[in-house]
Amino acid sequence: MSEDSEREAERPQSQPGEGEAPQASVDAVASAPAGEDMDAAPFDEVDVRDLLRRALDGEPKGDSGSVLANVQRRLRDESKGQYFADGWATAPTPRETYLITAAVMFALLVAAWFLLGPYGIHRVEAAVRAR
Amino acid sequence: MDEEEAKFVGRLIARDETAFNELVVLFERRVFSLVLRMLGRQADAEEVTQDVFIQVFRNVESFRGDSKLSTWIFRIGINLCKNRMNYDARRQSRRHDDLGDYEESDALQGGDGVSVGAVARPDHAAEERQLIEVVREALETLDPEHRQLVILRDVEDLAYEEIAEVTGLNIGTVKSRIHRGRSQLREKVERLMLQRKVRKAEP
Repeated sequence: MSEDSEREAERPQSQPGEGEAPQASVDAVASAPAGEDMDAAPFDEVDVRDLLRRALDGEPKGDSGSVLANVQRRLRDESKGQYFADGWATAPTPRETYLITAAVMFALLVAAWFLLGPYGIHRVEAAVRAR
Repeated sequence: MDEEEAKFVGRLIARDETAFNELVVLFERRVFSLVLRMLGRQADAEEVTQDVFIQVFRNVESFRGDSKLSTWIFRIGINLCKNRMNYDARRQSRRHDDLGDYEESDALQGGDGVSVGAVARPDHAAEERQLIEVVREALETLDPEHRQLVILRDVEDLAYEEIAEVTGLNIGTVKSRIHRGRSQLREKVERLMLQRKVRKAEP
């Protein structure tokens, strides 16, 4: 059954005495066996649902707080740092940092090669001999 | 569970922190709304919302994919709310109604009658506010089992089948309890409206 037709089925067929306290209907409901299909209810439950929706409709104004940050902190504490161990997990992937680190390391290697590589050593030896 | 969701769950099971962050961002408002409506208190709702996601993180391996991921998360939320309500009942804690934080719906118009049928056709702004208060008060005093089902159906708009999955009840029981919850709610609203009317009429 579709949602709409389901809702339509819940709508009462007639509303005799609408607006009065439906004690008889409530009693009938209270004595009904569990599992019985209540969609064809004799009293106006649609009014109740409408009231409820109107009263609670819309997102709550309240802030859900920093759910993510608090959950991460609690998981970090509980796991003793195994999860969400630092700020990296909450920050965007720091690709630039990796690239800079790689570039610096490459520059260091090149410098070392010039200083200590075959040409560098020869230069040092030549300089010593010249003295 | 579709293929995309299965992949996502796989990432969660692999403890992919980025996937978990996405999950929290995706569901936090819905979970918070549900929990706040169930508990009625902002501070408790914030704490329980966090608990829900911590439970998800801890137990995601136990998610078998029989239902949607959202249904499973809702089920955790409902269970935690139940636990909290039972705990509160034991401690007889006084309820502080933060439901006033809900946005007041423009559609809501108060009434001057006592019956639910009559109050749905309102005349004055003050009576509108009074009606909102009364409905929320009545909902607060509804027993937790009926309250959760009525909220899931009438406010969260879940289908009976989804509610049955979330609560673990069979559909027949869900329908009958929702029906009873609504009738109890209606009685309470009518009684509270009558009380207010009488109080107002007293010199």
